[in-house]
Amino acid sequence: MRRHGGWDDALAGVVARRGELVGYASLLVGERWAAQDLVREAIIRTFSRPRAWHDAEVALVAVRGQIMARFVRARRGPMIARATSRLRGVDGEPPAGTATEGPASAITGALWMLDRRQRACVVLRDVDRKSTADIARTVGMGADAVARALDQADTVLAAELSRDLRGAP
Amino acid sequence: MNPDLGRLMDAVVAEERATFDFEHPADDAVLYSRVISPLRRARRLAPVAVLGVLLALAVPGLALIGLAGTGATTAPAAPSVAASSSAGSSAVGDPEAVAGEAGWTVAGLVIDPRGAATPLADSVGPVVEEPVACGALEAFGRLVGRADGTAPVHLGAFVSSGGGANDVHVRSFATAGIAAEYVGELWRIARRCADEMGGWGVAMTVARVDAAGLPGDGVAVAIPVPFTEDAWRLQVYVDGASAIAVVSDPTAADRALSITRDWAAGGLR
Repeated sequence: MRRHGGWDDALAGVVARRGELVGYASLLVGERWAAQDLVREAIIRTFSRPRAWHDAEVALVAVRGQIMARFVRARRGPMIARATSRLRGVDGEPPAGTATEGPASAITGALWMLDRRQRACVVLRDVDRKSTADIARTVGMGADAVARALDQADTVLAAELSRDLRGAP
Repeated sequence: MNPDLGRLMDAVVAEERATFDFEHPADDAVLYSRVISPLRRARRLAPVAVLGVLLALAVPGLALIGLAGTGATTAPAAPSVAASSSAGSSAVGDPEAVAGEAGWTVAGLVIDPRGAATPLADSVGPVVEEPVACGALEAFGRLVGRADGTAPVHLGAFVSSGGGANDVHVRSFATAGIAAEYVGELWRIARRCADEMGGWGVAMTVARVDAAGLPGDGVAVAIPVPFTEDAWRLQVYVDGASAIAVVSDPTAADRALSITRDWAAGGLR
């Protein structure tokens, strides 16, 4: 029986739902392999803090927060980078060519046309269902700037998605 | 919210989840645990005092009050056990113990000399890693710095059953003037941190300690934890040359005022 003060049970719950987290991360980074890497890092960051985790649902929210935080501010310390690389073998290395496979669907392709903060704002609004104030706090922008970013993003997404539906290049 | 976009993105998440789950049927939790366990152990045992010195060296403003000097190095060794115990403290209360003594009890919690708050960056997340002024707040939480021949003392922490800690340090500065300057420097650095955090959209609060009946002066700081209603909190209070600092974990009820009142009412100085 594993005994780590309870955190490993929450970890098991989160690891079992990696697919959901990879789906969430893929909206941000487009490619599946990059999304898996982001999820691995977020799980490690979340659970390597010496705090108690009693509830997998709570930990899952924290991991999603880490995914967004790491996406908005792409920075990684050497300790986390080493740990993340150790786990790459768990999910397998990307086969040749996948690093440039690009977005997997029309919506991820459309999201790819946005800049990082616009993309983060859209995902926070439409997937996490967060208010403008919460989005502003998360991505580190003012509420007005978030509103503008969302307006611009909606314009770009509408154009991209309608072009995709018409089958135009 | 755009319901069409939301629906499309939910569908992407579901599709990616199905693909991933199909390709990864194994339970990899043990592998993750093997990688994470040493990291948790390393962070629990990390000498917080050394971290504080590094943080202080990174902040030019702290050089003014000598946080990088003997104050930090002469402080007692930092506790080696973080407040991560799910069982809370096992310390035994003593109803006759005054503030600072073994058995000191506040709000039903007994001070645990081995208890400690979780480091700021671990509590709040990466958002505080960049503004250098914010990192210095931890040093104030341990009352290190300002070389005046005195040193802070770590009394321990009041650790709740959920693991959240109210971590307590005290110090008797050489003079009341030095103590007042120390609080003034905290105020300036906390304001700088708040300005920088504001640039990241984090609404941090910095306020004078508002406690009726307490004759001294102090500063209270709260840094919200993203995605939660919780906050990392620091309160430093001085009365004459005596100072007390309380750092409250985001997961802990904020007992700083109760602790400070107890201490001001006649605890060990």
